[in-house]
Amino acid sequence: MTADQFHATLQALQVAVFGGLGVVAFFQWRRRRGEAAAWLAVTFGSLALVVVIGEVIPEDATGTLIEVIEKLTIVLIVLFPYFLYRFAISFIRRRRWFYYLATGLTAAAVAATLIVDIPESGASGSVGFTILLYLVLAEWILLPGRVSIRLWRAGRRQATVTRRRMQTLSIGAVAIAAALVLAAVSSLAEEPGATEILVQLLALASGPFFLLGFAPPSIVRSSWRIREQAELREAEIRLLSADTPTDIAAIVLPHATHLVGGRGSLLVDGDGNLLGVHLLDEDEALASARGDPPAEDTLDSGDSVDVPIRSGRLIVKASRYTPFFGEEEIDILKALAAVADLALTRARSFERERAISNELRKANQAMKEFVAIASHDLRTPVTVIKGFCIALQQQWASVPERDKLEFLSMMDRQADHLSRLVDDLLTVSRIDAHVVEIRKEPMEIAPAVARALEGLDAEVAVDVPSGLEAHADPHHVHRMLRNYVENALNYGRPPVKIEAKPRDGWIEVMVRDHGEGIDTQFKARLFEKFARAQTGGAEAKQGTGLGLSIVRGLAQANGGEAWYEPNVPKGSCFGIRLPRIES
Amino acid sequence: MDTKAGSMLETKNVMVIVEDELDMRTVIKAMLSADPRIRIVGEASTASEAIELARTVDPGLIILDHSIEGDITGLEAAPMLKEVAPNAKILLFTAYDMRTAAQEEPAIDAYLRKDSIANLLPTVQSLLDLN
Repeated sequence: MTADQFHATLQALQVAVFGGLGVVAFFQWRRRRGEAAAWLAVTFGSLALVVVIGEVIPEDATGTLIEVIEKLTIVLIVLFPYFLYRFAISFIRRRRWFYYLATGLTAAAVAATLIVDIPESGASGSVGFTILLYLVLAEWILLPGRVSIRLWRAGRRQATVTRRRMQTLSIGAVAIAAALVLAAVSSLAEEPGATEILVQLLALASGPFFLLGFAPPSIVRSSWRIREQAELREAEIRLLSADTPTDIAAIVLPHATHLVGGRGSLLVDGDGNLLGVHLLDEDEALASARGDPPAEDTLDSGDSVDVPIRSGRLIVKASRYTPFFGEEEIDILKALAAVADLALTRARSFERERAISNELRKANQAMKEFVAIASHDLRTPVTVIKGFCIALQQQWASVPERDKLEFLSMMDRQADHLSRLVDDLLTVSRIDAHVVEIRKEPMEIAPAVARALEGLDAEVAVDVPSGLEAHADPHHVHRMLRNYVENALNYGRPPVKIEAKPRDGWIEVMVRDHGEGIDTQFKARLFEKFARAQTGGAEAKQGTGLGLSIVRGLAQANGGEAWYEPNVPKGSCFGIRLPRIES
Repeated sequence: MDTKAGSMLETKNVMVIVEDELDMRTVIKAMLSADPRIRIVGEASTASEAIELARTVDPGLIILDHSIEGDITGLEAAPMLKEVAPNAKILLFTAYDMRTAAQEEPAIDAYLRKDSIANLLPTVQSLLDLN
C-alpha cells in the first residue's frame, strides 16, 4: 500500500467513524430529547459534516462557494470543542468564569476564522493568522481538557457502567483535542506528512471511545456491570428473608444509592412514613417523604429518582449524570424496588400476623385471668354455704342457738352475693359476645332517675331538667344508674348528686360523690372486669367487681359511652352518655 | 385482730387464720370446732398482722388464704411466716387453682382449694398429727 492509499484509507475510515457517530448521536437525541443529547447530536453531527465535506470537495477545487464552504468547515471545527463543552455542562455544574472564558474564546476564534485569510498548507501566514492559530490552540486545549477532567472526576462516585462511560468519553475528548492541536501545529510545519497521519490516527482512535461513551453495546455494559449484578443478587436474597421494613430499607437503600451514583436515598410507606434513610439528613428525608419540591440549588445534588411501589415509594437523590449515562441503571433500580416491594408486602403480612398473634395471646391471657377470678369469686360463697352446712350437720346439738342464727344469716348473705355474681357474669358474657338484648326507645331521663333511686335508704340530690329524652333501652339505663348510685353510696361519701344535661347530640348523666375519689393508677383499669380498688376492708368485697364493666358495656351497646372524672373539689364523678332525641 | 395468747402458748395445737373475709373466718372456726383438741389462738386479715401474731403465739399450724388484704399475697407471705414461726405448718387454703405454685413454694406444707372445705378438718388433723 502506498502512502497515498494509506492516507485515503484513513480518510475513508474517518468518514465512516465520524459519520456513524453523527448518526448515532442524532438517533440518541431523537430518543432522549434532553439538553445533553441535543448538544451531543450537534457536536458529532457537525464533526461528521466536516469529515464528509472534506471527503466530497476535491483538493484542487477553487471558487467563491468552495472558499465559503471551507471557511464554514473550519468554523465547525473551531466550534466542535465548544459543543462538547456545552454537552458536558448540561449535567456538570458549570463554573461561571470558565463558561464566559470558553464562550468568549470560541467567539473570538470563530470571528478570527471568518476574518483572517488562511494560507495554503506550509505557507507562512499573516499576524492575523498567527493570532487565529493561538486562539484556536487555546480553545482546543482548554475546552476538551476541561471536559475530560470533569467527566473523569465526576465518574469516580458512579456505578461501574456510568463511570466507564464517562471515562471513555473523557479519553475520547483528550484524543480528539490532541488530534486537533497536532493538526494546528502541523499546519505550521514545512513537512506535515508524518504528523498528518498521526493526527488522523488520533482522531480515528477517539471515535470508538466516543461510541463506547455514549452508546456502549449491551455486551460491554453487561461485562462492566458484573460486580454490581452479583451484589444485587446477594441483596435480593437478603431482601426476601428480611422480616421488618427497617431491615428491608437497610438492605435496599445503599444499593439503590450506588446504582444511580446518588448522594442518598429513602424508603417511604404508603402513608408517607419514613421506613429508612441512607446518607441523607432527616429534614431532607422528611421533606422528600412529604413530596416537597427540591430546593432550588439542586444542580450539584442531582435529581430525585422516585420509584413508586405498591407499598410506598423508593426515592433516590440521583446524580445529574444518571438520566444520561445511567438509563439502564434506573431500570435495574426499578427491578430492585420491585423486589423490595415484595419483601415489604411479606414483612407487612408478618407484622399483621404478629399483631394478631399478640392480640390473641393478650385475649387468651385476659380470658385466663377472668376465669381464675370468676372461679375464685364463685367458689368463695359456695365454700361458706357448704362449710356452714357441714358444721351444722355434724355439730347441730353442740352449736349454740345464737351461732346457728348467725350461720344462717351468713349463708343467706353469701347466697345473695352468689346470685348477684352469677347474674353479673351472665350479663358480662352477653356483652362480650355482643348478644345483649336491646330494646331502644325514646325515654325521658327524669323519671328514669327517679326509678333508679326508689327503695334506697339514703339522700341523693337530683338536678335533672324535665324534657330531656334519650334513645336507649330503659332497663339498661336503670341498671347503669342504679349501679353508679349504689357505688357512690357504698364507696363514696355524701352528698351524692345526680345531674343530667344535653351536650351536642348527647344526653350526659353524672353521679357525683364527695369521697376520696379514685386513685390515679387505678383509673385506667376502673371499667375493666373484676377491677377492685384497694379500698380496704369488707366494703370492697360487697360488689362483684363487674358493675362498672357492665355499665360501660351497656352504655356502648346503647350507642353511648361511660366515663369517670374526678369531682371538684373532691370525690368521684361517674357519667354515661346516651344518644339524645331533640325535642 | 383477736389474739388468745396466754396460758395456751405452749401447746402445739395453735392456729392462725389469715383470711380477709369475716364469713370465711367464721366458717373455718365452725368447721374446726368439731375437734376439741384444736385451739384457735389468733386471726389476722393481712400478712403483716399475721407475721406479728405468729411471732407472738408460736403456732403449730397456719391456715393461709392467698387473696388477703394488703400488698402482700398469701403465697408471698408464706416464707415470711415460716421465718418467724419455723415450727408452724402452713396450709394454703384458697379459692384459686394454685396447686403447682403451692408445691413450688417450700414454705407451704399443704394446699387445699376452698370448695373442698369438707376436707378441711381431716387435712388440719393430719398436719397436726391428731389422727
